[in-house]
This record gives sequence, C-alpha cells and structure tokens, in this order.
Amino acid sequence: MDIRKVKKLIELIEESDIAEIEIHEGEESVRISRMSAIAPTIVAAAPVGVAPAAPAADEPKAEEVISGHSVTSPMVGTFYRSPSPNSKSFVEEGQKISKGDTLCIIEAMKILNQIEADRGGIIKRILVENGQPVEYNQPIFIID
Amino acid sequence: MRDESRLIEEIADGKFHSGEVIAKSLGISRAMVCKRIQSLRKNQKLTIQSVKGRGYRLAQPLELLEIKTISDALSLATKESLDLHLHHTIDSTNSWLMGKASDGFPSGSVCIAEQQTAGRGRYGREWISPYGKNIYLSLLWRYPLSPTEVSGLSLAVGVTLLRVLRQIGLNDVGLKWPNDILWDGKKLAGLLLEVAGESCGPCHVVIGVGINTSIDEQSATAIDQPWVDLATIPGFTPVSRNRLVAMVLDALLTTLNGYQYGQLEPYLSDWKKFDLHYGKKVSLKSGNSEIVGVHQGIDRNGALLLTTADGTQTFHAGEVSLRPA
Repeated sequence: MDIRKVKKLIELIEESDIAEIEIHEGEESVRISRMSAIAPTIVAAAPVGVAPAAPAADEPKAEEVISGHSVTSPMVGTFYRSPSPNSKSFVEEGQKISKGDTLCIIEAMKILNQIEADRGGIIKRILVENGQPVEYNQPIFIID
Repeated sequence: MRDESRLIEEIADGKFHSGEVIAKSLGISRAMVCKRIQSLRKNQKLTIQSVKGRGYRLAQPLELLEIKTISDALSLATKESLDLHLHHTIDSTNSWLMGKASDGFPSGSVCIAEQQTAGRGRYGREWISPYGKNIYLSLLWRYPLSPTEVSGLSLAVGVTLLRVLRQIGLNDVGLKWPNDILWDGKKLAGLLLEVAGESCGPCHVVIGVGINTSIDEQSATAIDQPWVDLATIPGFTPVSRNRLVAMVLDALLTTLNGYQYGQLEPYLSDWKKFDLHYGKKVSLKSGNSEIVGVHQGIDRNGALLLTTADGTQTFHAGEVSLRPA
C-alpha cells in the first residue's frame, strides 16, 4: 500500500472520532488505531473494497489500551457488582467515586470481600461481568 | 420496638398474662397492649392466644436471649474482650456490624438478634431467621493483615464451630467445603464472612454464625436446601440458646486471637478428620460453570482440591455438592 495513502488515512482519522480503522485492498491490509487517552468507541467496520473482511479476532484486546488506573482483583474468586442479586450495583460506568468506596464483592471460600477504590475518579470501564470468576491480579475496573 | 420486646419478655414463659398486668408493667394502655400483640403476630409470626378473662399466652414458650445470661456464661477473658449488642429484630446481624465497623466499632463487637428480616447466606441466598429460635450472631474483628491473608479464617471458624457442636454432644456432624456444618447430609449451621479493608491491610472481618436450633414448619418451607435443627436430632439433649451463644463466642475468640499470628495449620488435621466429602465424587458449581471431580480435601491455604481428567487443581470459589458415585 502506498505510504502516502496511509499518511492520508492517519490524517483522516485524526480529524474524526474514529478510534480504529482497518482497510483491505487486494491482499494487503492496514489497521490504524489511536493509542490515545480517548475511550475507544466500538465502530462497526464498514467493509471497504471487495476483499472478505478479516476476522476481527484480536478486537477484545481493546481494553488493554484503555488508559487510566486499573483496579485489579486481590484474589481468585467470583465477581459480584451488587451486595445482593436484587440490589443496585455498587458502581456504574461513568460514575464518580471517592477513595474507599466499595466497588464490588469478590467471593472466595465463602468470604464476601468488599473491594474498595484505592483512589477516587470516574469509573471508566467495568471489565468483568457480574457472577464471573476472576483471577489474581486480573484488572476489574478502570478509574480515570 | 422496645415495647414489643418487653412484651415478649412478659409472656415468654408460655403462661397466661392479663392485658391489665402487662399494661401496668410496660406503662402503656391496654389498647396499646392489644396493638403490640397484633404487631408481634404479624411481624414476628408468633402464635399468641388471647382468652377473655385470662389474657394472652404464647402458644410455645420461648427462651429469649439475655445479655446478662450470656455474659455470665462467658469465660472471663472473653467477657472482657467483647461488647454485646442484642436486637429484638434486625435486617441482618452481619450488615449491621459491617455498617458499625465503618463507624469505628472495635474488635470484639458482637451483634446478636432474635430475628433477622433479611438474613443472608452465601451471595444471593437467604438465611431463614424466625423469631426467638435458632442463633444469629455476628462478631467483628480487626486485623493488620490484608483481606487475602485472612481468607483462611473461613475454614478455621468452620472447624471452631464444629468443635463447639461436638462439645455439646453432636458426634455426627461434619464439614462441607468451605465451612458448612452438616448432620446426616443436611445443613445444621452455616457461616458467612465479610471482609473489607485496604488491599495491603489493615482489614476487618465480620463473622456471621447461623445455627438451626429449632425451625418451625412454616419457616422451613422457605429453605431451599436439605436442613436439620438441633431440636429434631434424635438422642440429643437440647441446650440453652444463651449458653450455646456463649460457647460459640468463647470458641471464636480463641480462634480469632490465635489467627493474628498463625495460619491454618492448627485446623488442618480436624478439617481432614471431619471432611464429609473426602475421596468422593463431587460437583463444584460456580457461576455458570460446573466441574466434576474427586474431592481431595484442602490445601494448606484452605482451597479445595479436585482431581479431574486434567489432574488435581485448586479451587477458591463455588458450591460443592455430592454426586452419585
């Protein structure tokens, strides 16, 4: 692919809100991704040209490029977003929180561990689904 | 609320008490006594008979919990370390104490209740807590340790409670990982621990204890698993609730004090001895996943060991149930 074309694409992306774009041209393809602090927006990839779209297998890696402070699980267990199934979640994405606020519960060996925010900010992302297992040191929240 | 609890004290013996005497004793009107009786029937689900000319009586006498009786039964060391809070009714002894922990309540604060309106078990499970029956108590303890470092307590307190139950003559009780206490495969007592604190410590833990001493048929219909209570175990001599509370508190205090410096070692041999599922085929359910394997007991941190087709693995969360061999 012509380098000038790539340069043009980068400029195009910089002017827009698009976080990532992938272009296929014959056997060649190029993917341009913003590694900036802007929260990535999930954009449905519009097929360009006639080549079959490559499977977006590595898309889920998106969370690794989110900037911000990541809160990791201090233990192996089950992740819960609310104190009980019928109650409101401790926090939602976009919510402002203070240091010491309870973010979630991780149940391990029948201990309900209340996980507190180690700093204040805005909950940018919640990375784990309610009721799912979490591993030691797995990122569970991004605070910005 | 205070009137209600004092009224129950008046009639707890199961004998007739006239409305007039009760009114005088409580310093309220007879109409108010009548209103309070109705409230007790409705909110505490108590069967209170009223007979014209004789007064009110509880269909079944109750042994109510009393701070003084419990205190008198405690060992001296325990008595000095604990601060007992007794409630007529409460949402959950654990929730109350977790709230008070945030307000700065010290180690050794205890919450005991005659009734829980929102008693909790493992995440999302209800702990059925009818009035004046069973034991619902929570104990707060603070540690300089991190929340991860206190996780072994879950099993240590399970063994502690099992030892108390054996001490009162229940020889056939055993443990289900991580800390359920079963008799003949049915749940007799359960524990729920809640921990909060900073990731590097300090932290505080609230240990919730539920023991089924006597569950009426009506309450039992709401229990979603096989259960048993002390009153229906054949050959077992009933024990006073106040005394049982004191025994549990004495035992818990020893465990909690010791855990500051030790780990799980002092409990491992008893755990192994009373492990109901060792060597048996079990399933472990966690969220949407289910793993079937042979139960190999616990590792030195209290994690469950299961042997599956992929070898022996350790597990930290999930609900164990016995599978047909």
